[in-house]
Amino acid sequence: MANEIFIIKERCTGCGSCVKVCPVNCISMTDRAKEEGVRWKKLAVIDVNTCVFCNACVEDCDRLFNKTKEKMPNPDFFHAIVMKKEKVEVNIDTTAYKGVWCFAEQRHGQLMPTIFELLHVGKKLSLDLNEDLSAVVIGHDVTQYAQEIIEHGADKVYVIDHPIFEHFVDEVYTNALTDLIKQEKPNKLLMPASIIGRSFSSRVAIAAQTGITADATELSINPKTRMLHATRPSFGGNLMATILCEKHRPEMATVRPMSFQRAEKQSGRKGEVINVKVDLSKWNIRTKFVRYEAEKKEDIDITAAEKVVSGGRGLGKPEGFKLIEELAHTLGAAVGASRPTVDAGWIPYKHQIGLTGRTIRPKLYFACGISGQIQHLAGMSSAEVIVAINKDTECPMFKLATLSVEGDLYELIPLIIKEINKIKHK
Amino acid sequence: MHIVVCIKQTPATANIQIDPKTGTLKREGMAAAINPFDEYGIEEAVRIKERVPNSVVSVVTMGPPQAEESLRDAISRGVDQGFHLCDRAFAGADTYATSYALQMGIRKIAEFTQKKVDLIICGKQTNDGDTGHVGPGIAAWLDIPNVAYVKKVEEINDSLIRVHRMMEDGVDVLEMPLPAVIAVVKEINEPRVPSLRGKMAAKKAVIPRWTAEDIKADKNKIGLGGSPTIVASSFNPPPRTGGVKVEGATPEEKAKNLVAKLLEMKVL
Repeated sequence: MANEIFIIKERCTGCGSCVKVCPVNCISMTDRAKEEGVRWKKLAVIDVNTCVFCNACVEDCDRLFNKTKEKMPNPDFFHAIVMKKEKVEVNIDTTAYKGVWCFAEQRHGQLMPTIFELLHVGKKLSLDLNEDLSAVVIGHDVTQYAQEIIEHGADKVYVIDHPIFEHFVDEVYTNALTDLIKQEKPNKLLMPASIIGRSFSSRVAIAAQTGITADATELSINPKTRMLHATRPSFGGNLMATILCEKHRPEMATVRPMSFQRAEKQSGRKGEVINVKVDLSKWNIRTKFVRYEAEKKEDIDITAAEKVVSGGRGLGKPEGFKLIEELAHTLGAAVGASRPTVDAGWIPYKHQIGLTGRTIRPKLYFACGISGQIQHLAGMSSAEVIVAINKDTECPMFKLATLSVEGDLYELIPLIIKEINKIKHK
Repeated sequence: MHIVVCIKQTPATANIQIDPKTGTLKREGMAAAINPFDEYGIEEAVRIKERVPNSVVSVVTMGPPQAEESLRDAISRGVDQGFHLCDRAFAGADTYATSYALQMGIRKIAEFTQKKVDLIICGKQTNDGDTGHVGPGIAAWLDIPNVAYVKKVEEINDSLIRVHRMMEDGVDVLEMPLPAVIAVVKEINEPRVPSLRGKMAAKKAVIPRWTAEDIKADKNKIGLGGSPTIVASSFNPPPRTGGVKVEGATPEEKAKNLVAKLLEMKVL
């Protein structure tokens, strides 16, 4: 049996309220045929092929029904949407899974700061659940990081240390983490939504036969159900969705970097370090790591940067990025770009911010000569402070910006650099 | 070599609009198109076909009847054949159930065409779901190696593929024996526009439409019921309130006032 959803025509007022709550845009309003003799002019139609059966429209229509009921007895309208959900039996004892886990990413032997963000939010979840907070670190020669992770709030650190983990290979990391999950049965598992985290978390979820939410920016525990509520943006933050994993454990989520502050360090904090033995003989590893080519050192990684200075079409010429780089250098910021400048070959793709580029969430974002097309806003609209510099005061970026400056960027930016340098030297 | 590209029909990027009054996403009237990231997957498959003799490119999608358009679009760009997983029972799938259904579809394609599948290509993510989970998920179900965020296929022959993975801080080079899965990023190529010949082929193509039963899918692993995760609620975030315009009679004054404000906000 497939899922069913339908409208009781006689009860639909055509108010259009359900259209607004549908997350997948599958409800539309049509004109009713005249001969029906119903007083309402419009009728809701649901495209069942697009519907994800989230229940939002049903709840909305029922809410309107209950509101109307306060004013009149037994209204014969609203309460118009009926949903029949297919049920699949899952027999997993969710109470056997305990503890909040955070995955500590390392790259080339360096611990990534995302673990401290995960520990910050993970601590809150673990206190709400009254369960332990643990971290898992996979790498080669990484035992040295265990104490630092404990000092940032972890009660336990699982260390999976072996030369085979020196470089990130999807299959290898998936095997290591999945084996540990099956053995230790954690309740929740948070991973960074970095390239490594996003690459192998989904493989882990399927290997461990559980559900995962990608790119969460808000996390909380429902005190009644003890379930993880993971909220994530889609369409570049223009729509937020809260995702649950009801019957499978662990509930997994990747967490967007910079969404949470870092946990504070408590020097001398004590915890348990568990060295996990790995049995490689059971694994069927086919991928071979060939080599790593580092990027130029002076480039700041745009997705992890606290400050980003971006240039757009308003620069007028490729040389304009020299000025952008200069401002970025003065601020200690990374360099970003809008799609047209990348497409024109003014700057490499890795700098592109937006729907088809990178998504960032810096503390400070400078948009220089970027008008603010929705595709670009999708990649940066969750920045904390946005500064827009543009000649056109009507551009969308000015409506979004925290601070907007009207004028010629070739005139303004050198002056801004001068002002910042003045403060620096004070 | 048999390459399968997985695509999705999503709201067209160019049509995503913000309601100027409310500052929220306009949900009405979004036209559908191939997920932009999948176009790079299609192009890369066609390029590999041009490099490796005796290659065939198949394209598969899971979606409502109208998603067939996206398969025809792919054929117009050089793909040889399309396959459509279309069943109400697939609706409401999360990334777990989607990757399960797609890999069952890929198994069926191999059986149907009597050509084992060597390489599976996906876009790095879709523009509506934004997860990037389906490509690696397919590899997990099939128990074959995968690399995501691929920006270059350095070498490919009948038995192995060597790829460049775009990392935050550089490039990883990895080698996998085939069959394998790759998920590609925009930087990998410049997709071609449909050719006239391609458009003719797309028009004429007979596209098999398969149900859950046709691909022998386990009913407990597909659609909403087979999905471990569910959307509990969705909402529009409060729009950003309009900002402050930095005033000043001269550019010098404006620069000074801006830096003063940034200092005040403690972001410098």
